[in-house]
Amino acid sequence: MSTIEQSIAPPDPVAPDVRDKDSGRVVVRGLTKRFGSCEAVRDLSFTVEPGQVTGFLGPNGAGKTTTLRAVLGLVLPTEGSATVNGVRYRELPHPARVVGAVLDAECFDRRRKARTHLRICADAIGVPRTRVAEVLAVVGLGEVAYRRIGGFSTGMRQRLALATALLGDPRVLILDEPGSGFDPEGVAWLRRFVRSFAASGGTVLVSSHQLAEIAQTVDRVVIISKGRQVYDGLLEEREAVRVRCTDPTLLVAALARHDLTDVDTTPDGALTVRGATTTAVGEAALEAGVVLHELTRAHTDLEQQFLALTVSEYQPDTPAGRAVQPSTAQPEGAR
Amino acid sequence: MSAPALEMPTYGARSRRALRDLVRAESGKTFSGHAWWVLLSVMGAVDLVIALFATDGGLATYEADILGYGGGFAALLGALCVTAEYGHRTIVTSYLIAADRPTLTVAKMVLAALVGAGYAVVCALLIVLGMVLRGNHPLAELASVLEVSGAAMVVFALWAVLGVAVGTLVRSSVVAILAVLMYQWIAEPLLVLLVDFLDNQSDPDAITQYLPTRSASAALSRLGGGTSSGNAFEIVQPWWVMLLVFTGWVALASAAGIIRAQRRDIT
Repeated sequence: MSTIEQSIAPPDPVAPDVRDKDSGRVVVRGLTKRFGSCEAVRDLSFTVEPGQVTGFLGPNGAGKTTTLRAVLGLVLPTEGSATVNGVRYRELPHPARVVGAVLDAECFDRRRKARTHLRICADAIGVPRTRVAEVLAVVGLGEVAYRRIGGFSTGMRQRLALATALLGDPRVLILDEPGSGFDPEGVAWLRRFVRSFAASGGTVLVSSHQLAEIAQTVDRVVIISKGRQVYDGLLEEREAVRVRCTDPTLLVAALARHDLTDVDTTPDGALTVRGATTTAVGEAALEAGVVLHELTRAHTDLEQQFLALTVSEYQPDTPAGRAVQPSTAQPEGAR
Repeated sequence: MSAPALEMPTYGARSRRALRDLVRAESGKTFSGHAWWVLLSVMGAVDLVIALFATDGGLATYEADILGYGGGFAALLGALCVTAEYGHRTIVTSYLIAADRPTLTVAKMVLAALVGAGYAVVCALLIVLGMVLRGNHPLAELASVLEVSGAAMVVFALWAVLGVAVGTLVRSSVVAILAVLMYQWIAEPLLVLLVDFLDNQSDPDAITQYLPTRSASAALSRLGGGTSSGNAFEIVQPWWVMLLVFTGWVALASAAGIIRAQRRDIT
């Protein structure tokens, strides 16, 4: 491919942001999608930055898949826009070389062999067929290249779908509910893969209906509920620290001196400190002169907050942020 | 950055390369399945049998008459090129790779047209074989036979394109197959009867000969030296007019298919 060819921007009626060109940035602006009278997504706006893994969270039916399909040009937005590199997906000159997407593991003609399927896709993308063996090796399916897809397990089809997404060597990776169908080993592998993809400058958007599934992988989360956005921010901001010590009262006082006042007592006598790091709490404990029995990051607290964000209907459109603080949080320590 | 004057041809070249890549992928899809040779076998067998038992007459005339009815098989192949993708949901992957949907539809049409033309060649050979086995001399009408075969390639290619359009519009394999077969063998004949019934004063064929199936077979029959298509109706127009009429129908259906696909949500 010549450099001249790559330098040409296609005509774009969405008024592209020139700063987004070749950035690998995914921008969703005021996205609304109605299917008939059913409103799947309403006024969604968020940006997915390169070099990070962004989680896209929401309960089943919240509009995650619709949003991802709008980003990928499969669904036409009723209002608003979704762009990759500053242009709409359908106007990307070589979309599969920019974005790799895994939507579900059932998009295969099961009579075809894995290799045949990938060769067809490589031809369509316009990459050499040597890419087929490469991506099969990446996802660990090299051994079954000549087997029919019909004989594959769901996990193997997930890997094949990922291999398909990687054929064009994309900079942006979009995964819809990748956890379903993977065995625990596969999930761990996918986590490492996604982390290294982002670490090498790639953009990753991964959806899930379970926070626990992606909490260890993502840097940022966008949370939606009933088609509306309820949170967009860094994951750390949502985290809490669980601490048990000899004298909780002294520790609370010490924490207050560090402006860490959002503290709850759990029934088993431990404290949950929100918006804190384990380091800060440890230092406060040293100041207070208390003995620590336990000091962990409490992801379950995050899960509780996620549920609180997504369940109630009266959530405002603006990010709820720290306003939502369920008092019934019962952290059980890091998994 | 290149000058604006340079961009247009480069963009055009890129489109052509994208189309070529997609046609190559479409051939991989079609020839990795069974539909293409199953349809070809059935059609070839039918044509051979008809040719063996045809009544006396000129070789080219019968070749044309028989081929006139075979186009439906090419349409079925074209339709299946699209509906199989919806059936297996591979259309999702196809649209992710070819985000510009009209280009993908055109790629399917190009491939279907090429395969359709191939069908015509095989069928023409089988029909000639059947007639020769009956005692006709193939070289006697060689020029006409070649003419009819060439035109059949064009007509079959158009049928295949029509099939892609139908498949794009209806998406379901079963519905597409029924739509093509029922239109060709039931709906259009009924329509002819209806026009005949409503208007028994003037010649009903004046209108109905321009219907898709009739115009396609009339083009071949007229070229083959016949003045009537399967003795069904009088052909008054030259063959190329009928071919243009059929092309018009195909263009109409293709435009409808491309426009429909452009706005469709893949959920």
